[in-house]
Amino acid sequence: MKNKRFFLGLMFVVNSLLSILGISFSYLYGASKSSTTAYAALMSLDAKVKSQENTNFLHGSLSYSPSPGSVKEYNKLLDLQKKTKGKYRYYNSFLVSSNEDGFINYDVDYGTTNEVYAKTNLLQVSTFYDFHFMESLGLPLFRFDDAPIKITAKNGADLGAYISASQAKEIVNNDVRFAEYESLEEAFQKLLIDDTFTFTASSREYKNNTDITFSVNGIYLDNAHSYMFNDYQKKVQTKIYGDYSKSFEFWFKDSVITFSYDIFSKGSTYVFDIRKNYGNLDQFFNSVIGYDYAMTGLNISLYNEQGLIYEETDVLNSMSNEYHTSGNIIFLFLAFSSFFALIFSFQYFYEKMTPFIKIAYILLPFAIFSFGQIIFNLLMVFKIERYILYQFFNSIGNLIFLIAFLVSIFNVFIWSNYV
Amino acid sequence: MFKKLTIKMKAKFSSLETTLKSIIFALIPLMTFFLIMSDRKPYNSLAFILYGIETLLILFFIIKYHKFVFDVFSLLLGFFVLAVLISQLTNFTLIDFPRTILLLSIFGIIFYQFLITLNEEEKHNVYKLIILGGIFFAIYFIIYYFDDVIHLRFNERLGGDFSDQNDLAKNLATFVILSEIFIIKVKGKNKIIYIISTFLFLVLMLLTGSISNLLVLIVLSAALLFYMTKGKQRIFVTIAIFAMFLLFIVSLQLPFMSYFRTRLINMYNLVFSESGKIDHSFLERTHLAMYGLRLFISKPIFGYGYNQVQFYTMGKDAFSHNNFIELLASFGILGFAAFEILLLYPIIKNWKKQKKELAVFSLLYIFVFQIFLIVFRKKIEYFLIPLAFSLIDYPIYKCYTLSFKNKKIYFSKKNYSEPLLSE
Repeated sequence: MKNKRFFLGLMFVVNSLLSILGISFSYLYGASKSSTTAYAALMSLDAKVKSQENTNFLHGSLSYSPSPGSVKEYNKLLDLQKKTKGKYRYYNSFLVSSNEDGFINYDVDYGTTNEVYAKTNLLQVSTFYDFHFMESLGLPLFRFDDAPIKITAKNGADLGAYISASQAKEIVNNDVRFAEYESLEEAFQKLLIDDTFTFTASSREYKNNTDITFSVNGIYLDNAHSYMFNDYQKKVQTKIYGDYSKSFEFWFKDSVITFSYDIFSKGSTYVFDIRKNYGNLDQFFNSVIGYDYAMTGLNISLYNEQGLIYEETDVLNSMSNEYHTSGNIIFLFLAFSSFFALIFSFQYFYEKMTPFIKIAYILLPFAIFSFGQIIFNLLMVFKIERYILYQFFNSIGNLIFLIAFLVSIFNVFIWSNYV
Repeated sequence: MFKKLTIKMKAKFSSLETTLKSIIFALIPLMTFFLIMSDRKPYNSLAFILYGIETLLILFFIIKYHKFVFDVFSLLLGFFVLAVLISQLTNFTLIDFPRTILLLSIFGIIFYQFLITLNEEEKHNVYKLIILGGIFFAIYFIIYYFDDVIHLRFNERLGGDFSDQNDLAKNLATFVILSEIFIIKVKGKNKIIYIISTFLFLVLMLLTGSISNLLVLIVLSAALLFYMTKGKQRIFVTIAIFAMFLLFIVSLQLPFMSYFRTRLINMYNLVFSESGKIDHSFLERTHLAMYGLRLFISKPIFGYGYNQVQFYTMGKDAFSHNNFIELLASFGILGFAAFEILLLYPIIKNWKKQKKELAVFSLLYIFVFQIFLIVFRKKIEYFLIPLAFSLIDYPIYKCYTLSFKNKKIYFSKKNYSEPLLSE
C-alpha cells in the first residue's frame, strides 16, 4: 500500500516536473525569437491603450530618414483632431477630419512635414475591372513584389481612394496635362509626381450627401459616384448607421499606407492614429520589418494622449535593426525532449493507473499551463511592464504546449485502444 | 368547419392552463418573425418585448402548474455562461459582460422548462410554428423588396434592412431544412404547404446573395436525404442529388444567376488557379480567421473576452467570421468546449433515432455554419438548442427539480424513467 502511494506520488512529481520544464523551455524559445519581441511590444501597447480611460488617442509616427521633427507636426494634428473629437468614435489613420463653416472635409494628407516627401513611387496606379459597380480605378498605396494589389470594395477602402475608371478616363482625356501620355496608368503616375498628394472628399450637406466631390491635388476627379457612394450603399449604410457620413468613415478608416515598400525606401514621415488600427501596425511589422530597407534607420514613435512617448517605441526601434526570426534552437530541442519524455512516461506508468488517475495524469500538464495563464492574466492587470509579460508568456510557447498536449491526448487514445 | 374550429378553440381556452399554453404557442411565430430582424431598429425593441412577455408567461405557467427542472441542458448552458464569465473576469472586463448571452441563456432555460412539459407532437408543432413565423417574415420580405424580388436581383444582396445578409440567410436556410424534413415526414395535402414554403425560403435565401449559406445548405440537404432514407431508396436519392446538382450547374448559366456564377468561379480561382479573378470575401475571411487564431494562441485558456477580436482584425472592426475561432479567441478553450458540447450533445443523443430529424438537422446546420459566421450570440440558437435538448429520450432522467408547495420552495434530486410529463 505504502509502495503504491509512493509510486503514485513519484508519477505525479515526474509529470509536474516534465510539464513545467517543457512549458518553460517553450516560452524561452519563443522569447529568444525577435519576431516574438515585436509581437510582445505590440500586444503590450494594445493592452495599454485599452486600459486608458480615453482610448481614442494613441498616436504613432513612423519615419525613415532623416528625422524631420515630426513631434511638432504631430501636435498640430492632435489639436485638430481634438476639435473634432466629439463627432467621431475613432479616426482614420492618416485621416484628418475637420468641421468648419458647415463643411465636412476629409483630407488625407501624405507627407506632413516639409522636409522629405514620398515622391514618384508613393502611389502605384492600377486599373482593376470587376463585375458590376466595381469597375474602378484604384490607388493602391502599397505594393508587394512590384505587383499592384487588386482593389476590391473592402481592401480598396483600406488602400485609399476609389474612383470610377470611366469617369477618370474621361477626366484624363480632357485634361491637357495628360495629353502626352498614352496610358491611364502613366497619366496618373504623372499626376501623382507632385510633392504632396492630397485626396479630398468633401460634402456640403452633412446628412444628405448628394454633393460629394473628389479631388487629387485639387484636380476634380469624379462626382458621380464611386463604389461606396452608389445609391445602394447609401441606402443600406444610412439604414444601418443612421448617418451616411459614417459609412465614409467605415470604408476609409484604415488606409494601410504603412505597408508601402516605396515609402520607406524613399524616406518619409507619417503621422497616424493607431487606435482600432492595431492590425495595421501588426501587419506592418510582420510585412515590412523583414525587408532590408527597414532595418536601417527606421524610426517609430508612439505617443499617448498627453503626447508622451511609449516605452515600446524603443523596443520596436531597436528590434527593427536586429530583426531575425530564428530563435535559440537549443530551447526548442529541450522543450520537445521534455514533452516527449512526458508523453513516454504515460506509456511507462499506464498499467498501474486506474481510469481516474489516467485522466488526472493527462490533465495535470494542462492544469499547470492554466495556472501559468492565470498568473499571466493577474500580472497583466497589476503590473505596469506588460511588455515583459507578453514576451515571457509568448504565443510561440503557448503554441508548442498546445501541440504537445494534443499529441499526448492522441497518444493516450492510441495507447488505450490499440496497444 | 367553423363549428369544428369553435369547439377546438373552446377546448383550448377552457381552463387557465390550456389558455396560457395556447398563448405561449401563439407567440412563437411572432417571436420567430422578430428574432430574424432583431439586429435592426425598431424591430429589436419589439423582439425584446416579445421575448420578455413569453418568458414571463412561461414563468407563470411553470410556477403554477409544473416544476423547474435543472438537468443536463441547464448544466451545459450554465458551463458556457460560466466560461464567458471567467474569461471576462480574467481580463478584468466584467463590466462588458455580454448581457445578450446572459439574457438569451435565461430565456433558453425558461423556454426549456416549457418544452419538457410538452408531448412529442406538441414539440413538433413548435417547429411548425417556427416555420410559420418564417413564412410571415418571407411575406414581409417580399412586400418590402417587391420590385427587387420579382426581378430576381440576386446581386443586390437584399435583406440588409432587416439584418446582416448572411445572418438572415442562415435563418432562412434553417427554415428550408426544417421544411424539407416536414416534406418528407408529413403525409397528404399538407405536404404542399411545406413544398411551397421550402421554395419560398430558398428563393429569399438566394436573394440575400449569401454564398456561404448556399454551400452549407446544399451539403446538408443532400445529407438530410441520405439520412432519412434506407436501402434501395438511397440509390434513387443519390441519383436525385446528382441530378439536382447538374440542374444547379445549368441554372448558374441563366442570366439572373450571374452573381452566383461569378462568385463561385472566383472562389475556385482563389483555391485552384493562379490566374483570374478571386473571391475577396473568401480571402478576407481567411485573413480574419488567421488573426483570431493568433489571438487564441496568445491567450489560449481564457481568451480576450467578449467583443475583443474586432480590435485586432486589421482595423476593420470585423469579427473573425468563424464561430469556432471567435469562441477560441474570445473565451479560450473553456468557452469553446462549453459551446460546442452544447451543440453536439443533442445531435449525438438524437442521432439516428426515430422522429428526431428536426433536432439533429436544425443543430447540424448551425454547427456546420460556424465555419462562416458567429452564432453563439444569435437568438435562433437559443430557440433551437433547448428544442433539440427537449427531444432527447433519456433512459434514466436525472435532474434537480424546484417546486412550490404550501408557499414553500422544494429543491430535490430525482430520477425519472420518462421526462416529466406525467408529473
